[in-house]
Formats: sequence, C-alpha cells, structure tokens
Amino acid sequence: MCGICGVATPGPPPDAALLLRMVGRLRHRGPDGSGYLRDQGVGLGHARLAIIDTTGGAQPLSNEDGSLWIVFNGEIFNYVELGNELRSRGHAFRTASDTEVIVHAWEEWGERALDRFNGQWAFALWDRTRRQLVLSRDRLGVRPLYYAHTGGGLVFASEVKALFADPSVPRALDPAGLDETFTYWSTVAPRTPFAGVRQLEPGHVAYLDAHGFRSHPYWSIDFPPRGEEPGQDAVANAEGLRERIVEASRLRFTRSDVPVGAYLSGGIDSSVTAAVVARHTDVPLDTFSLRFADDEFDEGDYQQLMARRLGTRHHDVVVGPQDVAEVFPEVVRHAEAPLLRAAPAPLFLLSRLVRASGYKVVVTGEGADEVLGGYDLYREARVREFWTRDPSSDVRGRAAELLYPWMARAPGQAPAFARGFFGLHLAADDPALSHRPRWTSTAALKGLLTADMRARCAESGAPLDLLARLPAQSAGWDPLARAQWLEMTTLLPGYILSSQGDRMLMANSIEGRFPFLDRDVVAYADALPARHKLSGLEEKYLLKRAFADLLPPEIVRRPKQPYRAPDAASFCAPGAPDWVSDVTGADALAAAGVFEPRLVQGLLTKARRSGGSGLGNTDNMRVLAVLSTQLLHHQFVVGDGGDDAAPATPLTAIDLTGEGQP
Amino acid sequence: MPSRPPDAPTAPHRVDAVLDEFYALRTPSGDPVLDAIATAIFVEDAFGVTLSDAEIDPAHLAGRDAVRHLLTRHLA
Amino acid sequence: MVEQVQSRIMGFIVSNYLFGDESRAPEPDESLLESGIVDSTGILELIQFLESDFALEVKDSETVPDNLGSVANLTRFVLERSPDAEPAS
Repeated sequence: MCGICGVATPGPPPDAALLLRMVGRLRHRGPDGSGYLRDQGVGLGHARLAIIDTTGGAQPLSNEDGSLWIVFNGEIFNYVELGNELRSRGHAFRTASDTEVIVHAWEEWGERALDRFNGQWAFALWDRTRRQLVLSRDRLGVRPLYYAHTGGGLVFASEVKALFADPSVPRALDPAGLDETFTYWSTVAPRTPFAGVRQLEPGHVAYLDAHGFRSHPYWSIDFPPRGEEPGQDAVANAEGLRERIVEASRLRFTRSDVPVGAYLSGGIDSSVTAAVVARHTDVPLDTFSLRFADDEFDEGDYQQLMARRLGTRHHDVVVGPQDVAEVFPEVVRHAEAPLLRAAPAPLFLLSRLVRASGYKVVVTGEGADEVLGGYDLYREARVREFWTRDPSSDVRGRAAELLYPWMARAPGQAPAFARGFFGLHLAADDPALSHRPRWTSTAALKGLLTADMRARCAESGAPLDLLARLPAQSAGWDPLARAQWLEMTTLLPGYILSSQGDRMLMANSIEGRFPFLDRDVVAYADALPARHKLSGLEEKYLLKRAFADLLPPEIVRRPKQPYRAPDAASFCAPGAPDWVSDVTGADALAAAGVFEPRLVQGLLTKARRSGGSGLGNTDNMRVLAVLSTQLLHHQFVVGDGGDDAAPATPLTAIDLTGEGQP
Repeated sequence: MPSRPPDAPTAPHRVDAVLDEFYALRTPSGDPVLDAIATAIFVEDAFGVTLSDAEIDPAHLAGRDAVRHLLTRHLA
Repeated sequence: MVEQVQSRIMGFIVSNYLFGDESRAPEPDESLLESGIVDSTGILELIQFLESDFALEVKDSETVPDNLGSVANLTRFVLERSPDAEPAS
C-alpha cells in the first residue's frame, strides 16, 4: 500500500520542495521509501509501503520507453495473470511489481484495462505523449483519492493533509459537506467535508489535459431485475459463492512478498476469511482481535473459539474508554472527516498492534455485510416493506420484536415505540424505504447547528438528492438491491472503508485486503436472488450455508452483533482528557461557527450527568459529531492538517524537465 | 404481467425447492406467533404474495405442510 | 393543574431533548417520534422522568404512543394515573 500525490500546473514545472512536503505528509502510508518526478506541466509523488517486489518496485515507475509514468496506491491481485498475458503480447517488464502491470495494461487496452483489474487502487498516470494526466479509483472506494482545482491547475493526493501542504489550497469546512454528513453519515463523493476539495468517485476515471478536466464511471453497481436472477438454486449458488470467496482470499493472502495476517472480530465474515487463508499456509497464521474492557462490546469468547479452532497465533488488544479518548484526536486527523461513532478509534489501536507485531498486511472481512445482505438495516427494511402491505395491522406490527429480540423482553424497553420509530415515513413506493429511519434520526444532528450554518447549508443546495443518482433500471430491482445500492454508495465508501478502514489501517502503515470486495465476488453476489442474501430475516443466508463446515455452530448461530465501541462514555466521564473541554470551549465553538454553543453545553451537561453511559443513540451521535467536527476544524482549518515528516528513504528523484516529449 | 422466468420461485416445480431453502437455515424465536410472522415475511418476499392477518398465524404457518397448503391457494 | 403538569413535561422535553432550544418546542399534539424529537432509545429517558418526577410506575404495556407519544398524551396519562398529581419536586 502507499500514498500518492501530485500537481498539474500550466506554468513552470512544479516546485520540488512542494512535492517533497506532500510526500512527507503521507509518510505513514509509505514508510519504506519515496519518490517524485518533475516534468513540464506535472509533478508526481509517492510514499511507499513495500509489499510486492520489495526490491524492484520503486515509484514513480514507467513503461519501456518512458512515455507513461505512474504513481499507484493499492494492489492488483491478478497481476500475475495480466502480466503473463501482456508479455505474450510483446510487452517488456523490468520489475516483478503489480505497478508495472498497470502501465503496460494501459498501453495495451487503454481505459478498458480497468475492467481487467481485480484489486484496490488509486493511481495517477502521466502520459507524456498526450500531455494527459489520468486518475482512477477502484470500483467501491477502498483506496482514497482527493483533488482540488488551483489557479488553472490541479493538485491531488491520497489524503487531504497532503493537499493542504500546498498553501494555495484554501482550507474551510463545507456547509454542504456537513449537511451530507449529518444525513448520510458521510459526504457522498465527489463531495468531501472541505470546501473546494473533491474526491474522485469510486469506479471512476478522470482525465486532465488541454481540453480540461472530466471524469466518468468505468463501472457501476448493478443488479438484475427482481425474479430474473440467472441462478435460482441455493446449493449451486452456495458452491459458486464459496469458490469465488476462496479464490479471492487465496489471492489476497498469497500475493505478497511479506507475511500476511488476518483480523478476527468474532463474527462470521472474518471467521470465514481467516479460516480460508489458514488453509494456504504451513506455518501458523497470525490473527489479530480487538477486545473491550466493557462486556457490552467485547466479543472475546467468539474470537478465542475461532483462533483455537484454526490453531492461529492469536494477538489481541484490550480497549477501554480512556484509550479511545486518548487517541481520538489522532484518529480524526487520519479519518479527515466528522465521525458519528467512536468505533474507528479501537481499530486504530488494533492496527497499531499489527505493526508492533511486525506485520504490514492483514486480510479482513469488510464488505460482506453490504454485498451479502448482513446489515440490520436490511432486516429493518424488510420489516418496513412487510408493514407497507397493511400499515394498521397489529399482528404485522409485532415484527419489530424480531428485529431486536431483547427489546421485547427487557423491562422498560418499549416495543411499541420501536414499532413507531421503524414505522415512520412508510410509503410503499419510496425507493429509500430502507434508509429513511437512519437518515431521519441522523438529521436530528442538524438541530445543533447555528442559524448561520443552517442558512449556509440551505444556500449550498443541500440536502443532496441522492435518489436522483439511482440508476433508472433500479425501479425493477428487488428492494434489497436498492437498499444495497444506497449502502454501497454511502456508508461503505464514506465510512466503513475510509474512516474505519483504509485510514485506521494506514495510520499505522498497514495494508488491508478485503476478499469480500473482490471483483468476481461482488459480481457474483450482486446477481444473486435477494432471498439468498436475506432469507426472510436471516441475514447472509448463502454465506452461512456456503461455509457452515468451516465455522463453529456458535458463530453461525450468534445474532448479528454490529461492531460497536464505547461512544460518549469515552469523553463524558470524569477524567476525560483536556482536549475535550478545549475543543468545546466558547472560543473554539465560535471559531468554527458550526454548532450553537448553548446547545453544545446543554448536550454535554446531560451527557456528563451519567458519565456518558446510558445515552440514547442520537445523543451519542451528537457528542461524537461535535467533538470530531471541532477537532477537524482545529486540525485542518486553523492548522493545516500537517504533521510534517521527511519523506522516507530511499528517495528516488526523477527529473524530466530537461527532456523533450518522446 | 410479464411471463415468469422458468426458474422463478412461483413456478410449480420450484415452490418446494424454495421452501426447502427457508427450512434449511433459520433461527426459531421460541415464540410460535413470532415464528409465524418470520415465516410470513419470508413467504411474502420470496413468492410475491400478500397474506391476510388471519393467515399470519401459527394455524397457517407452523410447519412446512401448512405453509405449502397456504401457498398452493395463493399461487393458484 | 393541567397547565402545571403540561408545562413541567414541556420543560423536560425542551431541556432534555432540545438542550434548551425553545424555538423547536413541539406543539402539545405533535408526535414526538415523528418530529424526530425522541428516538427509539430516547423514550427510556421519558419513562424515567415520569417515574421519578411524578412518582408513577409505568408498566411495559403502557409504553405506547397513546400514553407517551405527545406532550398532550403525556399530560393526560399523568393526570389519569394520579388525579391530584403534584410534581414530586
């Protein structure tokens, strides 16, 4: 894995010092080496985490005649097969890296090369002949890529903090970005929380040349019409799914020149990936888990069960509220976005454990919930559809008790209110039926905004009409597929893969690999009948059937436990660190101008009364939203996001400014 | 109404296979009424039918035979 | 009496759920759930408030919108359960 950055500028060649500063800001993504290139009109920078061809694959890297140069963050897992095909077509390779495969593939197939890549990537390709810069990002947004237009040119980087190394890039929070975050849990690409900073959308390619800047999708999420899914047999589909997940895991585990470990959360997804990769190694697999001091969040029993069953060398880190509070500012600095949950913080501590254990790469289970029907939200959506068929039916109303069984039994819990809450905004023809409860309860956060910020949100054209982006053919999809599209367009790239994924892993220089987001696994899963993903209210039906033999029954049968960490309790108990009151003080609130100070004080007073525990869902989100947004403002608007470091050595410097065009 | 693809769950030779899928992997709740509701949710989604309140009941949905009988009526 | 009880309940709603923002106080008949003022977990705070401030015991079967879903319903519920309801101060 790595960090990339660069500038395109119509005037004189870019300043080497700027490129070095940008690369230095990405050092956590690439501590093993760095490189930069300067040419007329463009500069490219790279911070390297050496995983494949550790000796030969330094970047920036070119094709045979130096007409195409690339900086690349990611892995193309089928690079061996692609390389063989390209060699047979006459291409000459100098390294054994997957990076070089991209360059030759682009020469051979142009943009259609992207269809052939099975992997995760963000790259910038500089075509010296065409004087054209090409940017691309993988299909689902595993790897980040930000850019900003600057006085006739463009600056791009893996992380916003590297863009802000350029003092000419203005720094401000974007009201429209805050509005999106306080509805959808994150901004939706191309928007970011920062004004003037954009992100390339997943599945997109962009071109910058004399004709200007333009981008378009090379791939989009698609599903068959309901009832026309090609494979209807559960046994056959389970076999097909298993084959593809096994192959995806094998590729991700074996295609590395450094050892690969595995995360083990205690749930089905990472148990499957760990179980599959364990079969491809003769030495014990190293597995890594998060544990919590608080029983409410801890999944240790299930983790131990799986680790023992696989005979792994198991490592875990125990996290308590104070640990979360201590690292939270650093977590926000890496996430570069407001956070509505503290859940990224323990993941930051987990990747730190991985690094301390000497590993650079881990395989994890992200993506299974989105792609194979695992979210509680999908079950809620199905219950809501059930209710639309007769909204006044009392017997139908009891279905709320199937969603969260504890709600019916625990005294003082209120099943009628659960039904009332989940039954809000029930319109049978609403394409966003699945997501209305989440969007509505998240939008309550906007009640904390200053009147001025609310006005600026309205002026900016908020709220985003996400449904306008639903493809026309989605009207014929199964409702589960529409819910999946919404999830794969919002939560997955905007939060799961970024704030909880890439950013927390890369903060400690760890590359994550995600078998469930494999190109062929996703294509296969997207074509499945809905009942093979969510069978009634049984989530991840086919995954459970496909891998029942590898998993202990306790893990298959356990009710879905969403990954959760202590939220407000981390920041509102006595002994909370000083930064909490610093960022919520009158001066800090006034400087950011986002939240109404009186309301923030009311919220914190309420939260502190109970030490932050026992708060409702929305109040927890409020506390996190305030703290993380205030931190973000302090770090990236008042400050410039930087923790300036020297680029890692060895440093490669390539100067093409004296050379004419090839 | 477009013609149903040959492998659709509602095709007569497929109903039993799709019911088999449901019974192969489920988590009983321990409450017969809630189990009936869970079965109703599956049946309505997988077969595209709508059940009445009277039908969302253990009398009609407890056990594979009862469900099969109910489906025969609805898909006729 | 009705006014006292209603105003005390409204005061709790505004301070506990709206953090003092009077401008978004609900109409007495407005659904607290539909207006987004109370979420599915926030209802528990309401129950605790009734039990501590009005010395009531709220049974599981009574945690329904008819009783707790709006300020007007809450007021009626409190008065019905203890006709000479004095806030427990």
